[in-house]
Amino acid sequence: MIRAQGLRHSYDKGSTLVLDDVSVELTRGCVTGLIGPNGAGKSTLLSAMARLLVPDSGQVLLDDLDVLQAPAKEVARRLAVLRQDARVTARLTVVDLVRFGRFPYSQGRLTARDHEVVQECLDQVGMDRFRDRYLDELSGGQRQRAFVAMVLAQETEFVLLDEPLNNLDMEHAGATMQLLRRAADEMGRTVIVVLHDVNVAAAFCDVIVGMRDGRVVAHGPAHDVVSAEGLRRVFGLDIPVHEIDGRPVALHWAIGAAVQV
Amino acid sequence: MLVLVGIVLGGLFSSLSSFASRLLSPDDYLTLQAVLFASFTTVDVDLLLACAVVTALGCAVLWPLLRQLDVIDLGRERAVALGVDHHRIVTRVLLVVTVLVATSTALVGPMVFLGLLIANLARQLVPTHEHRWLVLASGLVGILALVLGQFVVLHGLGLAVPLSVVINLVGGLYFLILLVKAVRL
Repeated sequence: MIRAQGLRHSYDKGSTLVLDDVSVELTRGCVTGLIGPNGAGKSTLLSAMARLLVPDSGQVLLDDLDVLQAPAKEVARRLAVLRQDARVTARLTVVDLVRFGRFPYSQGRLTARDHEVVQECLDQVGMDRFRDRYLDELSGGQRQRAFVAMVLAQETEFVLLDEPLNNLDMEHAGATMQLLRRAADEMGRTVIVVLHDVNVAAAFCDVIVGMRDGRVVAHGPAHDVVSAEGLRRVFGLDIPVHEIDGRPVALHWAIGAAVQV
Repeated sequence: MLVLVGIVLGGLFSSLSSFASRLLSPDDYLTLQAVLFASFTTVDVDLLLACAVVTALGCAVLWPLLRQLDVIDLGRERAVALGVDHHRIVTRVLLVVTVLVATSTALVGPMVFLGLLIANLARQLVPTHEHRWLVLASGLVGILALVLGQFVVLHGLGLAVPLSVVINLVGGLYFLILLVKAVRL
């Protein structure tokens, strides 16, 4: 289980509060979707959970391990994170990049087992045929998949991803979500993913956390959050929600007038 | 960015030293100028042993950090995510680099473009992201540049021009080429 307690964070010397006393507990083995309007604090929460950002106050616990206090190497073996920014200045091939995922274990000296894991992860994201291509020779979607493979190669219990579907076409977006689903179902990983599209979240996540103005305003099974009532609370919009094949589908292109919450 | 800071600071300190030199008597000024001007021919032999020891120590501290530098090359956030203590490693490397640069400055005087030239050449010659090889290659390119440069000065230019001037000239030109390329991209 991963638990955030009383997270508070602001930018610009306290003038912009992005996390306003966020406490949330996410269950093991689930795919949890983080949704919310732009600037709601989703990415900041994800960064704080992954100790990429030191919050003004509050703490994040992986079971009993405090991510900010624990040794960096130990946290890196339990929690992997993929941020949105896919730029790299170093000239790396796909396989070079995925090998970095093994750094917490091998410190750069890869064993036979490390190479095996790297190969598996390349296959899982369908990037094996591009393994020797340089990152700057790839399309945005291919690069994104290479980064997903690197994060999977870290073989961590907790996998945090910030909008991993950016740049992906329909086919690869679907494949990536199925991959994350399998990571939870078959490998028992706990996946936390910031998603732009509430319907993707409804289709693939067990639990959805909705954020608005730096607070968690909805937290529950996908069905409950992706509902007319839930979406009004998170986005402040009247969005019609229908059920298709047992899944809620929000018609967010048919938004009613914005309402005050 | 760091290169720019280096050039600005370099300019600041050289104007400071020229300011100081104006306050000195002409005799002292001549002595000072000999020290302030980079020269590979007037190396203080008594310093060699001490400098060798410091350099060896510096390399010994740096060597185990090189694999972590590969990770730091991915950017701060990714390095942290992979369990590298970014702040500690970067601080340590910068400290050692400062000591090493101070050592070479004590031996031959200030050289602005040599490091820039050599590091970039090594990066182009050795197609790898691994710092172990890059650092080794930089060392070799550095030795080669100085020995070849000295050879050219001795036999081509008949000692008319000091090596440091040749290197700063070539390095400066190379830096300009890099700048022009970067602007075009």
